[in-house]
Amino acid sequence: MFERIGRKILGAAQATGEMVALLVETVYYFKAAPRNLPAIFRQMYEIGVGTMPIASLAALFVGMVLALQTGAELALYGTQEVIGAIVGLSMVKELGPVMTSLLVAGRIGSAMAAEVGAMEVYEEIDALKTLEINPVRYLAMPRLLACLFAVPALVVFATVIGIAGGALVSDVNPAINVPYNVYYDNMIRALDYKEIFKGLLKATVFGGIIAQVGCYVGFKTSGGARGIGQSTTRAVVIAFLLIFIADYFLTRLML
Amino acid sequence: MVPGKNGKKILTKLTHGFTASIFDGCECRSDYEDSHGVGIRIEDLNKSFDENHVLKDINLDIEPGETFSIIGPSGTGKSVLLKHIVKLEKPDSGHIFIDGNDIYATSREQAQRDYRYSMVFQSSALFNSLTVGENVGLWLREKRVCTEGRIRRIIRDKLRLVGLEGKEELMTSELSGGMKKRVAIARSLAMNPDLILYDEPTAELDPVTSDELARVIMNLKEKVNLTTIIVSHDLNFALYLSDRVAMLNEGRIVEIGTPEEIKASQNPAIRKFIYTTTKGIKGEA
Repeated sequence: MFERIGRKILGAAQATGEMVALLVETVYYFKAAPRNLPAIFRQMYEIGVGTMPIASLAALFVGMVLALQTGAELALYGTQEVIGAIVGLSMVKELGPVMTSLLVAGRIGSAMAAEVGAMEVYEEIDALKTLEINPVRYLAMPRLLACLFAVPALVVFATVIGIAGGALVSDVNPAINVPYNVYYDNMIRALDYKEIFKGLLKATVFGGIIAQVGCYVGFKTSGGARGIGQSTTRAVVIAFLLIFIADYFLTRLML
Repeated sequence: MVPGKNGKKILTKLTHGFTASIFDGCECRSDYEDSHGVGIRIEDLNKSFDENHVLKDINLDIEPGETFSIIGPSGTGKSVLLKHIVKLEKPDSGHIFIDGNDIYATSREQAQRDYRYSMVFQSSALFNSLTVGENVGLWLREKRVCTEGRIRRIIRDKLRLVGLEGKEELMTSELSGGMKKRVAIARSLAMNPDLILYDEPTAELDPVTSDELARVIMNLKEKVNLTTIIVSHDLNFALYLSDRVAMLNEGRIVEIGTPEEIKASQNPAIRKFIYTTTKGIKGEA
C-alpha cells in the first residue's frame, strides 16, 4: 500500500514538474507570437465568441439567483438597498471569474486536450517535429496567449450580465423592490478599481490554468480513441481542481 | 468589395502570420533549392521498451541517393528504427551518423547539420484543421523560406508531382487513403529534403493504389536527388522500388542485399517471409 501511495506522490510530483517545464517553454515562445497571430486570433474567437452565449446565460441566472436569495433575506431586516453592492462585489471578485472559468474549462479545456491528444495519438505531433516545427510553439503558445486575453474579456462580459440580472430581479421582485438607480448607486459605491483588478487577475490566472492543463494533458495522451476520451475528462477535472485551489490562494493573497 | 493590391497584401499577411514580410526582392532562401542525398551509417543501435528489447545491435550503411527498404514482419522494430533516424526516439546505445555527423551528439556538433529530412507517416499524419494546400505549405510558411507567391507555386508543383494538381482547397477529411498518402508525400517534398523516410506507405491501401504510390515514388527517384528509406512489410513494393533491401527479424538485421539477392536468399526468415507473401491460391501448384 505504501508503495502505491509513494508511486502516486511521485507521479503527481513528476506531472507538476512537467507542467511547469511546459509553462516555461510556452512563455519562452511568446516571442514568436507576431507570426502566429492567425492561430492566436482563431483560438481567441473560439474561446471568447464561442463561449459567450452560454457564459451570458449562466451569468444572468447566477446574478438573478444571488439577488433573489440575498435580497429576500435582507428585506427581512429592511436593508435590501445594499443588494447592488453585494451582487456587484460577488460577481466581480468571485462568481464572475470562477464561474466563467469553469465554463471555459469545460468547453475549451476539454476541446484542447482532445485536439492536442488526437494529434499526439495520430502522429501529427511527430509530423510537426519532423517538419522542425516545435509543437509547444505551434500548439501550446497560441492557446495560452489566447486564454490569457480571452478569459478576462469573457469574465468582464459575464460579470456585467450577472449584475444586470441581479438588478432586474431586485427591481421587479416585489419582496425586494430595489429600483435600478438605488441598485446602481450602491454597487458603484462598493466597487473600486482595485476590486475589478483583483477579479481580472484571477481570470487571467484561471485562463492560464485552463490552457496549460488542456495542452499538457493533450501532449501526454496515448492509447487511441479511449486515451483521447480519458484525456478530455482528465483535463476538465484537473482544471476545475486547480481553479478552486488557485482561487483560494489568490483570494488569500489579495485580501 | 474587392480588396485592392495593398488590401490583398495585408490579408495575406494576416492569414499567414507575416511570413511574406521578410523577403524583399528575392523569392527563396538561398539554401532551399539545394538538395543532395545523404549517407547514413548506423552502428550497434539498441533500444528497449521496459523488458522488450526491440532493436538489437543494428548495423547499417545507406549510400547517398540510394533507395533502401527495410522489410520484415509487423512488430519487429522497423518503425522504431525509422523513428531513431528522425530523432523521434533516443537509442539506449549505439550511434547514427548522417553525412558523417552523429545525430545524437551534443548540440554544438549538431549545429553543423546541413541536410533536411522528412517522413511520411503510416497514418499520413496530415493536419486535419488545415487544407491540402496548407498542409503542403506548412513548413515553407513556418520557416519563412519563400515569399507567399513562391510558396503557392511550390505547393502547386509538389501536388502536381504526386498527381493531385488543383486539390489545394480540399480539406483532408475529403480525401481517400491513397490521396492522403500522396498529400503527405507532397508535404514532405515541399521542404526539398535530402532524406525522405516512408513508414509503411502501402498500409491500408488496396493493390491498385499501392501500385500508383509506387509509381509516384519511382517518379520522384528519377526527378529528385534524395536518399529514400522505406519501411514496409509489402515485399513486392520494396523489391520493386529499392536499390537495396534489409530484412529485419526479431529486432536484428538478418540479411542485406539487392532485390535479386534478397529474392534468391536461402535465409530461413527471408524464405518464410517470401513464402507467406507470395504463396498464391490454395491447392494450386
